[in-house]
Amino acid sequence: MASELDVVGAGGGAAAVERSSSTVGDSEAGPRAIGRRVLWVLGVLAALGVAAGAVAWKEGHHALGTTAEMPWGLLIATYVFFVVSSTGLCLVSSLGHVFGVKLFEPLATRAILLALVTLLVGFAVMSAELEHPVLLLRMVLLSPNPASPIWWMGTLYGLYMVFIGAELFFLLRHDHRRARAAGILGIVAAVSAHSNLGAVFGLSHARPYWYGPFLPVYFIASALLCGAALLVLVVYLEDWFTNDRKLRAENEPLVAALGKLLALFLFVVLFFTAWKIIAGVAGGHHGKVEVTMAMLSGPLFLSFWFFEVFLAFVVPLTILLGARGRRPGWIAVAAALPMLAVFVMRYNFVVAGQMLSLKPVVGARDELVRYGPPFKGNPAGFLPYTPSLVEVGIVVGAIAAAVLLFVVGTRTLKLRQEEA
Amino acid sequence: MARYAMTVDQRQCVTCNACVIACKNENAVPPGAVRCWTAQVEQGRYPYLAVETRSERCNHCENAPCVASCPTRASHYEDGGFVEVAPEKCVGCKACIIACPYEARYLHPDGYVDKCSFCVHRVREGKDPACAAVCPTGALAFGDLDDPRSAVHRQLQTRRFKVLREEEDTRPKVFFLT
Repeated sequence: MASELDVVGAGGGAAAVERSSSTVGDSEAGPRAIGRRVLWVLGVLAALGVAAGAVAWKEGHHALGTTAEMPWGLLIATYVFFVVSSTGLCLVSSLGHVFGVKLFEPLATRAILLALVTLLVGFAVMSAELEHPVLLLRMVLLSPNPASPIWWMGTLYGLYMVFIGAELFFLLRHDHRRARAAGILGIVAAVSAHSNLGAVFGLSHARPYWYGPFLPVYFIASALLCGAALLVLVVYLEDWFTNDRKLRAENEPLVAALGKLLALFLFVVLFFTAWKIIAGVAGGHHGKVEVTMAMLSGPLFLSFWFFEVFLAFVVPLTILLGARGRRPGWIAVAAALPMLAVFVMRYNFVVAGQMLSLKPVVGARDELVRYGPPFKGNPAGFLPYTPSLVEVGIVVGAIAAAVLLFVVGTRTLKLRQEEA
Repeated sequence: MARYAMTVDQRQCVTCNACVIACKNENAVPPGAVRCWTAQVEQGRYPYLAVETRSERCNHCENAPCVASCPTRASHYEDGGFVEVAPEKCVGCKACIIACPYEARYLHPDGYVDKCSFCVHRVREGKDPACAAVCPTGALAFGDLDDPRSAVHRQLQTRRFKVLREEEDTRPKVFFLT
């Protein structure tokens, strides 16, 4: 791997030299050198993630912070984060190579590669969360339950993986007719798989915060947001790290167009978020209103207002709609912040749906319920959940691994040179 | 086909937790987890208060959300209306724990989801579930809903009763006599 990186590094030597000459006394400076160091750090983090994953695979739920009352935790949120990203990349990039918008065409191969990488990393995270991941693969085929949203979600994501795998294969062979066909199948699988992921939560009648037709639709909207944001970051960061000014100038219209899409999707998701909150409060629905209030003014106050509102919408939209919204660097900032916020959003979403105990201290009709041991009850009415170190390690490692796999993939397959 | 059900007489239950202990012994339930538990519910406003006392467990619902949500059919209905988990099919995705409105399920240390089985192994031998067998006040009765001679059938004909979280439309088969 190191030799591969060195070769690429030498290829852009002229630009690096030009840049470093201005930095007196530090020949190692420059985006390429920084990039190499970043990759090493990512490699170390990914290795730590694999180690944490190995612990989770061996120990099962004993290594996780989840409980019988709060069975889904950080790893589920991370899985959702990754597969949302994958779906979004597939959908947004299809504008180019499936729907024929010329401007987006150069993105196709890299976008589908990243979609595949994020999907596989998502599966890996999920396998650490499950008690018996291999058994699931067998049972999905041998003992299927078509009434189960998880069965549909798993099966459709399996199909989706095959389709985008084929799409990547044909794109690499420049067989654009077959790539387009695989791309269309990929879109259909992506939308159906992803809405079924929403259904995994949305069909849980016992969890009022999740229940309803909202989530399958909302998940598609937030996937589009992630897709546009990630593509901005891919184009901008590649140009920055390779320090190729000519390409950077050429890519400016592409980044600007992606920025406009990003602004649109931000508005769409903001719209969804606003109505989720309004419906949560206005309905007064037991189980829904408590959790919504926890976000507005309770224990989730900071993560909701600061991450889910301020960083996710206020700052990016201010940048994108203002004068800075035409500058690639600022567009990249406006793309990076929502990605960070979306991760927090996923975590809040998973935790919020479960945080109100079904064995409450104060019941639905104001009756006081005291449960015998071992249920101790919780004065605030909200269940605690703290991710374990293993869970955090897996998440950090998974994000590092996704970036690393993508960078190594683009270089091994020489995607950038080809498309530029 | 029998439809096995349980009645919990809230007028007789004193939440002594004998059912909890008997269940843990009978089914080797691991530390920190229970298949059966007790609850005290205070209702009304001072000074007009009432306390309900009861023993709770999996309701072996006829429309069980856990069975619907299980991707591998590990959670399933068995003859007699039992809702059971097949450990060898359970992958530990915990969708059933999320789906159950009664929080009756937990993840067993051995890596599968576990819950009250209505002591199906005892019932098949003609015995009552361990909790019903041990109850010192006779608050728990077990039997076939469709058998006019069974205690549960008679009680549901003559007593007022309720089920938990009726709004979930799960059609529970544990009935609470009020």
